[in-house]
Amino acid sequence: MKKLTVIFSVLIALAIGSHAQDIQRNTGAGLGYMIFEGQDGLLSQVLAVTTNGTFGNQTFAITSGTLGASQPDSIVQNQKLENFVAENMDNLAHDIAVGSGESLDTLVELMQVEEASRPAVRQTLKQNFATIYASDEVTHQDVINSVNQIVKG
Amino acid sequence: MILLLSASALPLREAEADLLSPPSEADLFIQQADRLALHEDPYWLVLLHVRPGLFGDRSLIDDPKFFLAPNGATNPRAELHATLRAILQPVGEVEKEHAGCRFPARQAWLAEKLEIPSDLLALPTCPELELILERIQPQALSLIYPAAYMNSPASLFGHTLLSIKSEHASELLNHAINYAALTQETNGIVFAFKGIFGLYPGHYNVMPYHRKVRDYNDISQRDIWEFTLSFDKDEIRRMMLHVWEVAEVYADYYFFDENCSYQLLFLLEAARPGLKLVNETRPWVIPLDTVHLVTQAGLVGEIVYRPSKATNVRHIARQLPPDDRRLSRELARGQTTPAEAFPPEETEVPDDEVARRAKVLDLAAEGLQSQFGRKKVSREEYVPRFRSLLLARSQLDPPDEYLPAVPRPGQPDHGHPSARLTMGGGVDDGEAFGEFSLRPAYHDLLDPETGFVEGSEIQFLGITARWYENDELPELQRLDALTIVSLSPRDEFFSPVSWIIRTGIARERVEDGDLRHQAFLNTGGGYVWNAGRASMVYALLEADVRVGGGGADYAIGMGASAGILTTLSDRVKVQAFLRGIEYPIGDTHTLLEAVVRGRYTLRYNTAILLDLAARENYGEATTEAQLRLAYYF
Repeated sequence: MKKLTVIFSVLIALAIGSHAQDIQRNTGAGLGYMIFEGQDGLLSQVLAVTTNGTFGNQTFAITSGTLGASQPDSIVQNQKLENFVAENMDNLAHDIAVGSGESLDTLVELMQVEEASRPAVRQTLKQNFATIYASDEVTHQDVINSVNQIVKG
Repeated sequence: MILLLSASALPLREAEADLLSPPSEADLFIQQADRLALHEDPYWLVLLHVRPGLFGDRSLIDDPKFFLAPNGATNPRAELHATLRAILQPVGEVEKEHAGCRFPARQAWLAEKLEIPSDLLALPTCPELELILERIQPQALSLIYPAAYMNSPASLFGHTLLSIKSEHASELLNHAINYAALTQETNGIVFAFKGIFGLYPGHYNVMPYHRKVRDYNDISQRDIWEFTLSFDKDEIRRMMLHVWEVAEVYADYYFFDENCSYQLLFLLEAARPGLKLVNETRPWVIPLDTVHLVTQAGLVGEIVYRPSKATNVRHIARQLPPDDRRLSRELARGQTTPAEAFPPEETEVPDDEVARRAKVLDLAAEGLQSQFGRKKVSREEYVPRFRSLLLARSQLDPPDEYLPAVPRPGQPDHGHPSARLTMGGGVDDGEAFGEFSLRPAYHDLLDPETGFVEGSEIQFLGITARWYENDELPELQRLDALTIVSLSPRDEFFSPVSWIIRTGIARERVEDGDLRHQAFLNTGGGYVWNAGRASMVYALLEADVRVGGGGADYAIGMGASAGILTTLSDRVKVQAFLRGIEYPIGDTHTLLEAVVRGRYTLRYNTAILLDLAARENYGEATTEAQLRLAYYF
């Protein structure tokens, strides 16, 4: 019985812990999507992740942003960016609209914008809020793409 | 023929070799470890999470995977021997399954203590562990304390976790190390029961800190305090090796003692050999006590305050006049749109008007987000409204500093310690008495509020003895098994239901004016509003069940109470209330009372309490006055 409880709870942990990776495989995270992680469609996530390694590795892997040891730094950085934007869609939208805030600072840092040009980039993103968040269906990938274009274009 | 011979001779030779050959390297190191009594070394016991128990020493880790010796959980010496043998074993085919990869902290410590040369140590390559150490790049360590949030039973006492600073500047990219019971339980009573009796397995896990910030700040509406700890990079690395060892095992979660706070102390001790925190704890461990503990150990540096979404919403609301607050609420509810609220104008909008509009939209957007976090609006309603509010906000450029920063409330480490002793005396119905009480945990409505949630009370197992002048001996006056009072004010954006639950045994004046012991269960719910900055008024409907005391030996009643709770100064807090309960079932009677209670703080751990009451019970009027000295420890 005890063993069953343990297995069950590890499954739950896997489901919650691996959410960030699931969303990348699916269509992407939209506004209001990540607020209640692990509450919708729990069972399907349990099934999806049971083949995906052990509990400890899983949680460590997410925090380190990768499961493969041989990935170059740029990809790791991209995954960190993707995870962060996917899980902070709402706060990031707020910060971009206001033109300041911790989520926006984190985004700008993860995009490796040079220190000196950060204030200008924050202001530009704010002015382009309507473009970045063009529809209610905007996903985290859309946000990353538009931000990339605005910052680098 | 030769083949046959050698085949039969081989087992014999092996057996002889076992008996005659000199002791192996492992045996030599085991002898040396025994000579040094390494299994009694406090650090070894930390690595095994061993605590002295009723039936001898025992590890708090309940997962057999954590032990290499069959009796490792109860025998640190056997576990040390098994570990030494395992780390000296040649590396097998699956390198990461070698003990050196499973237990890197044990290996590092044993190798150092026994001066095991590195050519004797089997040094397997552990790609996952190395990857984690490389990716996490620990820079600094903080103790994270999300403050208590009343309406969730899981958070009654707050929580503690650790956060490891990454190489990034943004604190949100830190790594959180959390020990928690894994449960989907939403029934508070089931949660409490299972939690108290260790029926949930607890796990350590590591996740991005921004996820925990969102969980606490945005969803559960809890302020977060970050206490930077004075550990250097090597110490944090040492701790990480141990986190790796415990990341895949479970330890039964006990709500009161073997909880999140307690288990994290082991990690801190693993970081710095010689640090003593676990032994300093009481039989029960409250997250706030952990904060006091690390502060007293001199480990705390900078302290950072991270207000919750709810705190932020209330803060912005305080900057706006009532009309603007109402406008914000209408915007958040979709009753009006930004275009309707602020129609386009020909002339340029002056700065102070831009600032006002920015604040109205900030309040609306954050209020809406906070309501969505509490599931008060559907996603279908939330997304378009949130986006339109932010779009309007993105077109405003208010002057810098248009909104002051959220003021920092009193730090939790400046709050009173959670156990309380009171001594005092008074007069009850003309009879003098002396009183003594002990409350192990946690906070009374009138206790100094620094570091606690305003309007909250949680008390466990408070015992009060009273000695009336005509008594021969002191008698049990009250046993307050559990008291929870949650007074949460309602405003434009928050409409919580406040509630109380009190249960225990009390000595009360019954029918003939005699003092009798009664078991009681008193619950209630109602509304609370802010009255000015420092006061709240409340009204509650109550139910009360009493058992014992003669007569019918029970009484069931319904009634109401209304009162005011006000902070007059840093030192003075007063509560006044009227309460009436009608008991139509069992021992029929009526209770009416008017009570004034006050507290005057002398020092952070000492206060004077005053209680005045006028009562009418069973038709008999009495008065009571009492003065007590309270000491928090």
